[in-house]
Amino acid sequence: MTAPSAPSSPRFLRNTWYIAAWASELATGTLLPRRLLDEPVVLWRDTSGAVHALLDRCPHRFAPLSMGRLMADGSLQCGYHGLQFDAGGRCTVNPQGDGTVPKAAQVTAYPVVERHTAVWIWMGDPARADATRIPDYSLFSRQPHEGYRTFDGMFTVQAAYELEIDNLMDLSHPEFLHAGSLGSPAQKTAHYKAWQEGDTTVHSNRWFDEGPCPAAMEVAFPTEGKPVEHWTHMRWDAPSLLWLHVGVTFTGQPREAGMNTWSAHFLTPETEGSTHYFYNHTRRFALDSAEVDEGIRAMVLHAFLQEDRPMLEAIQRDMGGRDLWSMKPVLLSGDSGGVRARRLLEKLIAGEHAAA
Amino acid sequence: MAFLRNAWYCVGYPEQLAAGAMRSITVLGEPLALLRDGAGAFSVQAPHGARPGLERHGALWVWMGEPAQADAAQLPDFSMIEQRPGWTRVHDQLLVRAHYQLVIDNLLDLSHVNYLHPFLGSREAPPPEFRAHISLEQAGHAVTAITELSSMPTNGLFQLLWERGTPPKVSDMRANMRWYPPSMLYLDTGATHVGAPRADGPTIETIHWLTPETETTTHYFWVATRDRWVGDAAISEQVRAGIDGAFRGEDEPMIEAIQRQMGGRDFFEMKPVMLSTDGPAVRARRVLMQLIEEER
Repeated sequence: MTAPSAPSSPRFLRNTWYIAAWASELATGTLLPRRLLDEPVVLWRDTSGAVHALLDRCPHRFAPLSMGRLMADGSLQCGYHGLQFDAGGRCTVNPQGDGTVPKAAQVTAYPVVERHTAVWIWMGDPARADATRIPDYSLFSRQPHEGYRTFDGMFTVQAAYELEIDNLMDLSHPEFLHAGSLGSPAQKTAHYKAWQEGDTTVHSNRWFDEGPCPAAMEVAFPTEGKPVEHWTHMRWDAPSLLWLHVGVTFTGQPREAGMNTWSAHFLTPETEGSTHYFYNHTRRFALDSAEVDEGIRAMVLHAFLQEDRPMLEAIQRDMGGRDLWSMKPVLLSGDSGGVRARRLLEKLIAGEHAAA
Repeated sequence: MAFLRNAWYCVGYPEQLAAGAMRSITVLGEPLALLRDGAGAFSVQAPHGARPGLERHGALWVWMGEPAQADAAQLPDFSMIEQRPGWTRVHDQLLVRAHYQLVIDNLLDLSHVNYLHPFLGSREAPPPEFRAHISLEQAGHAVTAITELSSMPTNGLFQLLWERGTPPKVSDMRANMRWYPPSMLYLDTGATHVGAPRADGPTIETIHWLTPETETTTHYFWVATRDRWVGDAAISEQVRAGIDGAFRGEDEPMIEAIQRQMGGRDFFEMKPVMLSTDGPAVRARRVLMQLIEEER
């Protein structure tokens, strides 16, 4: 195991699981290059179906291994001079000279686990990689015959992952930023509560008991003007896994009788100033319709890409790498969930540095 | 890594500069104006005065150091690349978004050819009698990487250039790449029937003049001259397109990816794992570092 050649950013928690890709992104035989925590990583699925991750850099002349090819025996051949590496990052073949494999020819291998429709990567001390620490997202794997349907996707934003967490934990912003789709006049009467659960989880919940249904829900939950209860409950799991439960039901009816959807917003830092945004969406209606997937995807992507992203990228440019607290932000009551998550994340990162 | 200043750098081809014309180019980060007066004389204007210019071996050159030290005799003899009887030439240029030293490394280690260049390498497994011999020679400051491959499946380029009879399935192939400081390379490559003398098969000689535009971009001028099918314009175009395609489509993406991976860090400080085939490239790096040190 060679040490990462770039010093690790103090803004990243390392001994934790991040999502590296959705499982659906990794077909057998494709080499997927992706920068994660400012390190180049290559991911691939071998012919047995197992997923692997190596530092995407040949130790010889630093060619990205993702520009090479996958061999029949499951090893990766560098596309520049033909060195071959196994899934553990050990060089197994040197086709040059007398074929001696240099001792130092070793690439960092990262523990990876495929679970809950995602590929999880551990970029800290490999000895501490413990898959039981991945939160329970088994809902993602439920199939239409069980009454659920999930689709997923990803994109990359030029803003720090902490800003994305702030944005997602702050459930008051949809009223303004997403006024056309997610807003409702009843948001003004909404309740808000944020609290911590255990050492690594923060909840941020916003709901109203009685009011007009938000336009985006009306499509799948026609109300004919009858008042509804509406809730948006966000759960943050350290370091940057956010899962939103949104629902609407006729006022006075149980929540299960209404419409329930869940969406993951899993953030993995690409660099200090950019973030891979892995999203998914789970619903309990239109269970066989790919068309409905694409309709919801278009709506969700519109909110992310046309409304959230320009705002966050503008904030990122304005902050120019400065620390949020050093800029003395004015905090509102709706910020308490985001502030709790930030404080908890800072504490976890500080703890990791103190232990190192 | 800094630049060697007391040296000639190629800035273009004579036909790119008509009488009375001006052309701009950036060399070692300095914007230059290349001028040719009505009488055909070539000169170079820099922001703070003139720089010595030279027209030789089918190329235009500029001296980037102390003008008083400019010495045309310091330019290696590249006359083999000029138009000569029995040979024909093609030339072109490209811009590589990488430090020039990475381009030199690439040229001095041709063991990459089989992995990166389908047209220039061999995809077939070599026969059991295949032998490879790679060695290094240094004469003064010039470093040569000598590659001799015996009983090698004949590559696409030499199949194309084979003029007398059918190309053999396997041939002896040579590729001798000589580097002159700071960044000029000459490659003699050819193929013959196994054990036959040099004149038996085609020879293609190429020069690679690398001129740093900045620390991270490089002007790449190249000329290829060959002794087969000299009157055949279609083959000339296939050779030009084949070489250009290899550089642009195969070398350049790899070298640029490495440039991004290194992100401005020093090559040796990144502790590369060295293979036996890295000898010539590492030697050239050491010679150039020494020359740059001496110049300071």
